[in-house]
Amino acid sequence: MIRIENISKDFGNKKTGVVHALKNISFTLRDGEITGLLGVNGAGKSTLLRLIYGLQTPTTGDIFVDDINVQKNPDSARQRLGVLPDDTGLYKRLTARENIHYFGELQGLSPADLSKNSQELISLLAMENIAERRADGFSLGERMKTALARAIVHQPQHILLDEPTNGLDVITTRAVRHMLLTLRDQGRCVLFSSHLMHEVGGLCDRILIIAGGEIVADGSVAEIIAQARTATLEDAFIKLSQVTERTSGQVSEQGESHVN
Amino acid sequence: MLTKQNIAMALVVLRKELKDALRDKRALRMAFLPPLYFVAIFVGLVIFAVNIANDKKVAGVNSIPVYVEGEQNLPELVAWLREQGADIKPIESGAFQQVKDKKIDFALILSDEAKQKRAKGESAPVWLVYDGANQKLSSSIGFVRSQIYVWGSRVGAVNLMARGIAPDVGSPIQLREENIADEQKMSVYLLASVPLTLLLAAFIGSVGFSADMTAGERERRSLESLLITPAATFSIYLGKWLTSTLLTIVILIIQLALLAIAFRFLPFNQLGLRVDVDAVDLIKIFWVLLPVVFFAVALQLSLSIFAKSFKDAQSLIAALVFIPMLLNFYTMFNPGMFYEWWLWVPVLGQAVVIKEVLLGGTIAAFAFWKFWLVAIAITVGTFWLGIKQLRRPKIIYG
Repeated sequence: MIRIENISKDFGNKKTGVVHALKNISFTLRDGEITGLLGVNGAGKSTLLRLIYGLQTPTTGDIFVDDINVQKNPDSARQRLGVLPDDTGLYKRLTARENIHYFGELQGLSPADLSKNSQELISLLAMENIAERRADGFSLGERMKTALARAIVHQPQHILLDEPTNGLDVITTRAVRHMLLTLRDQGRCVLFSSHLMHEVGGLCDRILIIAGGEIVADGSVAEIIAQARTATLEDAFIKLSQVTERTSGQVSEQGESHVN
Repeated sequence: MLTKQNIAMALVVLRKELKDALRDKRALRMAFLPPLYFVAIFVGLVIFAVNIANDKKVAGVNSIPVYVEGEQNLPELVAWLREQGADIKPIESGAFQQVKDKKIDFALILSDEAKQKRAKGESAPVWLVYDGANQKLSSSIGFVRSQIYVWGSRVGAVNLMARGIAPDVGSPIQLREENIADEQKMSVYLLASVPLTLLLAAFIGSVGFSADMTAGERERRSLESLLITPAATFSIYLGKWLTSTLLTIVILIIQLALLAIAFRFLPFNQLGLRVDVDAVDLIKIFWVLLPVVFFAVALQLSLSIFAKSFKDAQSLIAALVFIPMLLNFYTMFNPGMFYEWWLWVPVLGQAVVIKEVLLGGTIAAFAFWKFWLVAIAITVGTFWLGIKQLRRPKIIYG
C-alpha cells in the first residue's frame, strides 16, 4: 500500500518563476490492484513517481510505503519498491542477465534467490535469446524487457512503472501486460503511467487522471466515463484534462531547469 | 557509515564496475598504454644520451679536424695535438685566406717566425684563425686552444726545471674545468621526468574509468535506476572509488616494474650518474604515490559527477593534469630548491621525495606521514562533496 498525503511540489524560484507541478494531492494505492496514471505531457506524472521513490522531495506533504515515510527512511522504502523510471539506461558491457543480477545484489538478494528470480523473469518476459548477450546493440524492446526485469527482480510488493510499453512491439507489449496481471494476482500494488488509453482501459482496475498538477478523476473505467459523461475513456480523458489545463495553465514535469 | 551492510554493497558495486571496466577496451587502452609508452621513450632517450656520450669519448676528439699551416715550424706542438687526438690536416699555404673564404672552418698557422723564436727560447707566436660568428666551432676551438696552453705550460715547466726552478712557480693557478652540459644534463632531466610520469599515472591513470562510472552513468541514464536501489550513496561511491583506486594501483605497479627493469639494465654510470634503485626504493616510491592515488581518484569522481557525458568529464578532468605537471616542472627547473613546507603540498612533496629516492638520498620518515595526513583530508573532503552531489535532482535529471 502506498499512501500519498497532501503532496505539493513546486519547482523554480521567484527569479525564474515558480511552477506548481503538483497541488495538494492525496490518494492511496491498494495492494492487489493495477492503478493506471493518465495525464498529458507535463501533467506531473513523472514528478509524482519520483516523489514516491524518493529521488525528489515534496514541497509539502508525506508519502508512506507500507507505513514507512519515504522522506524519513528513503532506503527502507526503496527496498519495498520496484521502479522502472522513464528513459532508463542499461550497462552496455554487461549481459542482460548481469544487468539484472547487479540490481538484485544491490537489493540484497541471496545468490540462490537471485538466480531463481532472474531465471523466472527471463522466462516470463521471453528473454532467453538475449540473456547472455551484452546489452550494447539491444533493440528498444530488448532494453525495456531487461530494464523491467532489473526493476522487479527482488519481487517488490510495490511496482512503479513509467510508460513501460512505450515503443514496444505487440508481442513484447503483450508479454509485459501478462506480467503485470500476474503481479497483481500475487497481491502486489502496481502503478503505471501511460498514454495509451486502450492499454490502460484493458488492464487497470483503477485509473487516476492527473491534469494541471491535480487528480481530476479517480475510479474504474466505467466510473470515469460516467463522471465525464462521454462515450469512451479517451473522450473522458480529453474532456477532464482540458478543463483543468485551461483553468490552471500548463505545468512542466521535467525537473532539469528547475531548482528543487 | 562503515557498516557491514554498506561495505557489502560497496563490494557489489566494485565487482560490477571492475567487470565493466575490464570490458571497456577504450578506457583500458587509455589507462595501460601510457606507462608502456613512457618507459619505452625513457629507455630510448637514455640509450640515445649514452650513445652520444660514448661517441664523444671514444671517437669524439679524433673527429676534430685541425688544419695546420707550417707543421714543420713547430713539430713538437703538432705531435702533441696529434697525441691528444686531433686529426691534423696539413696545409701548404694560404690558410688565412681559406678560412676567410669559408673553405675550412679554422686553421692553426705556425710561421717561420715561430720556429726562429722557439729556437732562441723566446715565446713563439702561433695563429689560430677562425670565424667567431660560427657557434658550432666553439668546442673545437676550445680544444685546440686548451691543448696549446697545456703544451705551452709543459714546455715552460721543463725549461724552469732545467734551470733548477720548481715548475709551480710559473703557474700559480691550476684551473680544472668540468662541463656537465649536453648529455649529462639531458640525463638529469630525463631522470627528473620519472617522478612526473609516476605522479601523472597516479593522478590521472584511471580517469577513463572514473568518468565512465559517474558522467557515463549520467549519460546512459542509468544513474536514476541505480539510486532507486536501497544501496546507500556512500556504498555506491565507495565501490566506484575502490574500482578506480585498484586499477590505478595496478597501472602504477606495472609502470614501477617496467622502470625497475629499465634502471637495472640502463648504463647510467656511463652518463656519470649514480642511479641505484633497489626493491626497497621502489616500495618507498609506491608508498609515496599511494596517498596521491587515494585523493586523486576521489577528485576524479567528484569532478566528473558534474559532467553530463563521458566526453565532458574527460575534458573537465584533463584540467587535473596541469596540477602535477606545473608542480613538477617547477622542481625540475629549480633542482636545488627545497623548503620544508613543500612536503605538505600534495604532489609537490611527492615529486621532491621521489627524485630524492632515485638519486639515493635519504628521506625522513615523517614525510610519508605528512603525505598520508594531507591525502586523507582531501579524500574525505571530496568524498563528502561527491556523495552530496550524487542525489541532487539536478545531477540525476539534468
